[in-house]
Amino acid sequence: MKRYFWVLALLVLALLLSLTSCSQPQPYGTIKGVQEIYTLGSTVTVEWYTVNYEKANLPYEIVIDTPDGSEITVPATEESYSFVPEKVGKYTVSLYGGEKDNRTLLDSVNFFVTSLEFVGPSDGEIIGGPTWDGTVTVSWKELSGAPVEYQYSLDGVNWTEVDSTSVKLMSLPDGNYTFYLKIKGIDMPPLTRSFKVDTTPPQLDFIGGSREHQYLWNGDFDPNGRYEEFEWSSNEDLSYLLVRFYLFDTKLGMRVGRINLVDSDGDGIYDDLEVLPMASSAEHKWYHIVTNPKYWVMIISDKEMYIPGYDVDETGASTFIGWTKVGFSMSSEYKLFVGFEAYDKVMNSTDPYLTAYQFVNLNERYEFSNEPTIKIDENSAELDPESSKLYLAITAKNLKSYLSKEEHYSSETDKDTTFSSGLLYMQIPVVYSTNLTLSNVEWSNFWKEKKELNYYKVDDSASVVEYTGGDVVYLYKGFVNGEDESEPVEDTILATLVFDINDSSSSVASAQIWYEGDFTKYQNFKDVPNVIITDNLGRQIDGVIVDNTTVLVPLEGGEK
Amino acid sequence: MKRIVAILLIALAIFSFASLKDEWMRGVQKINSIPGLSWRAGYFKGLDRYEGLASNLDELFKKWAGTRELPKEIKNRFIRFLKTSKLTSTDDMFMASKFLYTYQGEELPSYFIQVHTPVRDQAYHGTCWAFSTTAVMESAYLVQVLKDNGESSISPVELQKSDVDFSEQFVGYHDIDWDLARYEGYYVIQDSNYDGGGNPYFATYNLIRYGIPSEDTFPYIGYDKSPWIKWNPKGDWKKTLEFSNKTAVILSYDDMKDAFNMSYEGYINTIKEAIEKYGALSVMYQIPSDFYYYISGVYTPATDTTVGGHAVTLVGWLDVEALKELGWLDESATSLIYKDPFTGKTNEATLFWVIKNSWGSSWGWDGYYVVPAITKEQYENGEVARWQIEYYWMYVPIIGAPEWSKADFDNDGDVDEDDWNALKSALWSNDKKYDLNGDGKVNGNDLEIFMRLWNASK
Repeated sequence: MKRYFWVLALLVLALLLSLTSCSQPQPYGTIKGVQEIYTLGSTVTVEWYTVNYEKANLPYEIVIDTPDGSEITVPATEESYSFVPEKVGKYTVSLYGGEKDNRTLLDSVNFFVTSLEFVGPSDGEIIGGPTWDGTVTVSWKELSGAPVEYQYSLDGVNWTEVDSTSVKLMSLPDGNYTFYLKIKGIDMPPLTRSFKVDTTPPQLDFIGGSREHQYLWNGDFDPNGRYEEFEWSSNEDLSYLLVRFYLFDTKLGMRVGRINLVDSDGDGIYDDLEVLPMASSAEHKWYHIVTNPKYWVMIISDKEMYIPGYDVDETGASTFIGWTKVGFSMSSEYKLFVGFEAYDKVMNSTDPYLTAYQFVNLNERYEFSNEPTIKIDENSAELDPESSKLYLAITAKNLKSYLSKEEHYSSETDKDTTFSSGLLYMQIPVVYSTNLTLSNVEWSNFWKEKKELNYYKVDDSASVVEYTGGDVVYLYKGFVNGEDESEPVEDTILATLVFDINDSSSSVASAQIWYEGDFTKYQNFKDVPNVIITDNLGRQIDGVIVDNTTVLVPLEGGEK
Repeated sequence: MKRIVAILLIALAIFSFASLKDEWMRGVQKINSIPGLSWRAGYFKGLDRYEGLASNLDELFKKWAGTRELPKEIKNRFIRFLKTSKLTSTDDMFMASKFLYTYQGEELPSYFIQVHTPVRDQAYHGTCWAFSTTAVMESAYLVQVLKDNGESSISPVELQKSDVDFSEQFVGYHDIDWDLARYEGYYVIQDSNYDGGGNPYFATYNLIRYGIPSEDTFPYIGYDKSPWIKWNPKGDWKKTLEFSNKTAVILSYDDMKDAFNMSYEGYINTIKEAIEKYGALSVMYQIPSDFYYYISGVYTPATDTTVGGHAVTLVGWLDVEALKELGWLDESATSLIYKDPFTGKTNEATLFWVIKNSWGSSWGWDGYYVVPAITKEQYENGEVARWQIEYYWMYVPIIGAPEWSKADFDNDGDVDEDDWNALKSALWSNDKKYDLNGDGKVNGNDLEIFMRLWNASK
């Protein structure tokens, strides 16, 4: 019971004290804006913040103790005080609040003034590179003008004495360093200067889109697809990265040619390649990857490439490469070999003879030039001004040769085999401008030894016109068992559309094989708004390219 | 010293396994303490197989959630020539290989389970999409080729058939290269076998272009840590290939409603009829974080967080009476009323989907789970969370063609020019006589089938 009494009494006392302090504000304040070390001759600004000053009219005071024992006293009616310290050593700033005889130390901060100032290296400097002599000179200035002895350290623990204002460090292995420097006999924290020694070439890691090896190493490759996308990343920041291309003979196991990009028509887009013999290394171009070279993506295919870099000529003039109109042909015998030369910030570079490199292996079931393609052949456009008729042919180039192979694969090692069992059916939606009226479709006998069942039907409903901007004719063509009525007359033509020009004032007509990109928009069409092409098992034949370029035909003057 | 190290290592191994198990049981207890929940959580007996593969449940759950949602770039865009011409397998082909399925008016039972193959185990790979695609191909094969069919049953296990077993490994090997696709704005579609998750939209197309071999010639590799789905032929897989011809698609509830003006009843019946007619459907959803612990009942989330996308197989549906028979609803109940933490709305469900998972038969309700279907109110007000399968598209492969006599429209014993002319004149109508694929309209897809039937009749 007694114990509880005392606890209660203490609580009451605490309450009374707190009530007292509520009625008489306590001084409160903090010092701010003071650095740890100042260089001799520089201005020190001390700032502070106080509360209850105006309310209680309490006096506050700043007192600065200097290294020689003197005091600077500043009434804290302002919010800052600036001065230039004249002595090297330790200073103490104290903020007091309250009456002189009963004042309270509210805050206290130390700072130091040094007579030392680093000259080199600059803070965070990377030292190294091919022209580096292997030494690091750390130098400083003595601002007091008096002879002084110093101590320095590389670990902050073991100190070496020196009376000069520079030190030459030898045989420092690669790494990050902090150089500590202080004046002998003066108690203050050391000055520090950080630098890095880097004599190691950057390391590139490749991340590729390759099938078996998403992460690629030198010399490791595997069949992929038509597009090779690979990214690289460097273990350190790069000044720039150089890329160049070689041909690699897989049978010989060596590089056999050097490849340069060529802009044959001078329009600023690379559209051709030149292959140089291995001996002509001087003519072999390096392309400068300068857009964030540490980490970037390059895409290579057999028909185009994206190279995020510049072609720099002897004069230093540069042309951005970006997308090209040329790619590297697919081949099982030759591979593309991409050489990389990376330069870090001090120009350490990958060894030119051990350049980081990457194989590129493009594979598809056919070359770009042999792509089976269904298109409206714009060269077939024929205008008959007398009858006001326009003829446009739909062609299927390379389709027969593609389908003549039972199995489609891109190389002996390719696992993505697709199988063909002969052509059975085609359905092609063609949208044409409303100034044309389809009068007929002339069908070609396209496939040898097959009976061809042909039909077409036009959808000119308001919904399709609104959505596509024209009428749609669906061409339906079956290739079934039965007697072939006649010999095929033309290898590539599937059908010729015959239009009447219904508006003599029109200057241009257009037609396009429709390519619907949104399955939910099928409702706008009477039939499937994409090309259907199936084999005898009723399967969509994979790999047939549908060219849906809009073909424009000038109508005035009857020219093509 | 060696002995101490060995003991320490053993203790560490036991401890790390125990922590996986403990973590699971903590989840179970947490869920089962929630009052009024329509399902029960329980221990997953297959967990010990993941010893040494996953260091915690989070890692395992993420691995299981291996379906990538279709990017909106694929769903909603127009393709321009300069882009499309770069492709060899183009999305117009993917689209042309699919047709929209809609309800054709068949009478449907109040509850039904379609025939399907036993529950498989994707193990420690993100291949749920390959398992779902393979499962629907197997079910489609049972229904469309072997002419088997499901029945009104409350036991999915009883409708398991083992007449066919296709290779999930082969499907999983042919994923798309998502990095390349993403970098190229989804215009470049190329294969990759990286174990990075897939989507049945592409995988069902691969059933057409690559086909699918049997499991024994191309077996699955489950319990390994390889980031690759390996090329794993163990026999003459080419000889066992079976192909799909087309893929019937049912769009998400909002696409069906907005783009095709479909009613709620039409949408639900479309799903049911497609299951009954073609086989189980490949469906997907976002896994709520408490879903893993399910062992029985009707699952509804008690959390509002999800882990990732998951593709599964919709094998049938149950009604309120069927749930009562299972003991999951009181005799007096006329519906299941639950609150969805994702939408904050209370839903009153009378229809329930039976879904086959791919985490082995020791998970869940013998490998299956049951969820409420979207309600009419939800369909109309659009308050549908992503844990519901109706949020996503559904797929079922179509295999083969009908009997050739179906194209002998004039019944003269042959498919000939007269039938062709009759079909031409019925083109773009709704005449069921000429609707050879049964999707409700006579169009080019029927003409294509006609060509096959022409050849079959010769």
